Order: sequence, then C-alpha cells, then structure tokens
Amino acid sequence: MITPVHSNLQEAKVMNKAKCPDCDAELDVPADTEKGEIVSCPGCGLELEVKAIKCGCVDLQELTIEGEDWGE
Amino acid sequence: MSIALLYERSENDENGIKLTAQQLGIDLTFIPFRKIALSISKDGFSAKTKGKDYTQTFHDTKVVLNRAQSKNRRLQASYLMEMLGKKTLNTSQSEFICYSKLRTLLHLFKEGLPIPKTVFVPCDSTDTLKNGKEIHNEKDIADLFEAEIPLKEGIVIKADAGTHGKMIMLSKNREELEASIKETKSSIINPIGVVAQELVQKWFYDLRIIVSQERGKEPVCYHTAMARAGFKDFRTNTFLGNLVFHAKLPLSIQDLAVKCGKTLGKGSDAWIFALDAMVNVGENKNADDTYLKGELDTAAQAWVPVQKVKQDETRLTNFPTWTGKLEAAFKTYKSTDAYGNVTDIIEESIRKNVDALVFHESNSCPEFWENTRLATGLNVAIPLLRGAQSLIDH
Repeated sequence: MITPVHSNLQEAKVMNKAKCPDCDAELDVPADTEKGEIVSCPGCGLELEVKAIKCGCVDLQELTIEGEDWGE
Repeated sequence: MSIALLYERSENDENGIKLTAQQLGIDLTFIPFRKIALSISKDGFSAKTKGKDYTQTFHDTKVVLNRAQSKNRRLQASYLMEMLGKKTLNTSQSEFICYSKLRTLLHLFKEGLPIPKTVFVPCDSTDTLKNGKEIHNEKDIADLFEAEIPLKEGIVIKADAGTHGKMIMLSKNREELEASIKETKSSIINPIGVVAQELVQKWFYDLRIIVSQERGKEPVCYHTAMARAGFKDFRTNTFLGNLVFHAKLPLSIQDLAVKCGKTLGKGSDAWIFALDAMVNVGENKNADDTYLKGELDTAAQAWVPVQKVKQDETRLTNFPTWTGKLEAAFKTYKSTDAYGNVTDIIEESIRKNVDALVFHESNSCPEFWENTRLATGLNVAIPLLRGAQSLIDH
C-alpha cells in the first residue's frame, strides 16, 4: 500500500514548487522531500513520485497502480 | 454545457481521448474521480478536492464520459452523475450489465443471441461456520457443472467480473475442476458464486468487435475487428503475451454485433461497447497448425519493437511523440508477410465458420489506444466523443 508521505503540505515550512503532470495544478513540495517519495496532488488527488529535484525544481511522475477491480 | 471526461488516472486511453478531442475541436472538461469529496445536503451538492472546487464544473457538465478504471467506482460514478441530471456514456444500467460476465450473457441469451453454454452456481466454494470451521462445497459445485457440461471436452471456470484473463481456469479432469472451483474465492469483484463455461474450440484466436450508437443515428458495428491470436494459452488476452491482428467481419456478424449492442444499450440514446467473441472453429481449420505456429513466431519477432515502444517512458512525458513512435512501430509490424499471412488465415476462418460465432463478454470502458486502434484502424475515441456530442446536440 502506498502512503503519501506529505499529505498535509501546509505543515512544512520550506517548499519547492512542482506541477502535477496530469492536471497542471501547482504543488508545494517540502524542501526536505527526497527522490522516490510520494506526494499527492491537491487538485486531482493523483499520487505522484518525486523523480528528480534540481535547484528547487521538482519533477513528478504518475505512479502506475492497479486495483483488484480495475479494467474493462 | 460541456462534455466531461471522468477519470481516475490519465492512462494511455484517457490521454488518447484528450488528444482526439483536441484534433476534433471538441472541448472537454476533466473530473478526477478520485480524492474528491462529493457532498449532498438540503442545500444542494458540492464536489471538491483538497485544492480545487469542481462544483461549477459539475453544474456545467451535460454529458459524462465515464473512464474510471475501477469497475466499482465506474458504476458508482455513472449512477451518481445520472442522479445529478447528467447524461452518461455508458449509462449506469449498461455498466451494471457489463460489470458481470453472467449478467451480460443473460441479456444476450434473452434476446436469442449466440453465447457459449454457461452455468452459474450461486454457492461459494467455501462457507465459514459461526464456530470458524469451514464447509467445502467444491465437490457439490463440480457435480452440478459436470451434469451440464461434459468434462472431457473442457470446462472453463471464470471469475464473473475479472479482466485480463485473470482467474480464468481450464479443467479437463475432476481434480483440476475441483481445484479451479476452490481457487475461485469471493472478492470485491466476484462477490458470490462460481461461473463455468463450455470450452469453445476457438483454434488460436478470438475477436474484439466495436459497436456504437450516436443519438439520432442507427447503431453501427465497425467493419474490422481486432483478433487476438496465439497458441500460448487457451486464453487469448493480449495481456498474456498474445499478438494482435485485424480481421474484416462478414455482414452477418456485424448485424449480430449490432443486436448485442442494442441489447446492452437498453434503449439509451448513445452507447459504445467492445464485444469479445469466439468462433467455434473445432476441426474446421483452413491452415496447418505447424505452418501457423511458424508464422506466429515470425510475427512475434516483428512485434518486439512495438512492445519496446509500449514500455517507453516518453508516454508519460510526451504522449503525442510516444503515440507517433507507437504508430510507426505498429505500421512496420503490420507490413510483415507473417502478419499478412496470419490475417488472411483468420479472415478465411471467420468466413468458413460464420455461423459458429459466440459472444462471451462485453466491455463498457474498453482499452483501445495501443492495440484496437492500431490493429483495426478505428480510433475508439472518435465514436465515444461523437456519441457524447450527439447527447448535447439533440
């Protein structure tokens, strides 16, 4: 099971900016977030993996998940 | 008033619908049906995520294209949207039918449409008593199945609502049958009972047929189906490593497919379904198996570059570019002699066994961008979007 590590982003003090690759919403990602951590987009709720952090810019990528009842 | 794409995650099909809408000049709004709070009270309703208020989007939406990946969420989404006065594609009634293989087959059976012999036993393989002890019903269920379907010809045990060939097991003797029944455990997707089906002697392929209806027009069946083919397994799902080909459909099969669509559409103004069908070829084969296996092996080599593109992560970062790469790889695959030879065999086999086709499943939210679109030439997003548009225009 995937648990977002920063479900309440407002609690962190220093933030990096990121953009949801799906809905384009702006995300504030805590500065101490590390590569591989999971954040969730406040706009669409999607869980996103931190792929890279460079000079305060955070690259996020959708996670591929599949539920038991997913499909056609 | 607009068309909203309701989705959980933007997979290739959803991205394909967005891209196609842009190309057709159709405005789409988006409803992420995931971490959203849908609130109802005497004051009305609201729909909000943590960071965005979608209530106005809901108000402005007239038609919902339901692409929630979870069958349960999809069903709930259709029902919810209909209760809020929206048109849905497909309707909750059609979603409810297509959710279950048994319900789909019951509707087709009622209309006299060809289906494989199917047996349903409502009992689960195991019951738990209040004291925690278990009662095993496999033997009783197996007896009931064997009384209806000859075991020596094969009995297929299916999860009523599974996908991608999961929990579909072939039994050819009593031991396998009881083991398959025991394996069928109740879950959120298959809450009760066990479904068994006769083994259709489909040789090496099955068909995926697209049928659709726009409001104010006659329903149509697309003239070319996708054939999933291979000798690897009695299941022909592409998920299990089978290859895809195209197959032109005789008019009589197109007519039957339209009847299936009408049956599952239940009188709604617009619908779209991907019907899964098998041809009971039996021994009426038109090619030698050894030759065919050789051609499939050759085609499989040509399929490798397509698979590589599918796994390419550019689909997540640049979908149009990735789509272009996939189309180019698919075009190369389709241009091979082996592809052409196998396609010819499948099309001839369908013509020779035109009265032996049975429909066994219907998909209300079909995957299409990677295989169906490129094998058949039909971008399913087009009839989907046109169907939604027709519900606004009329």
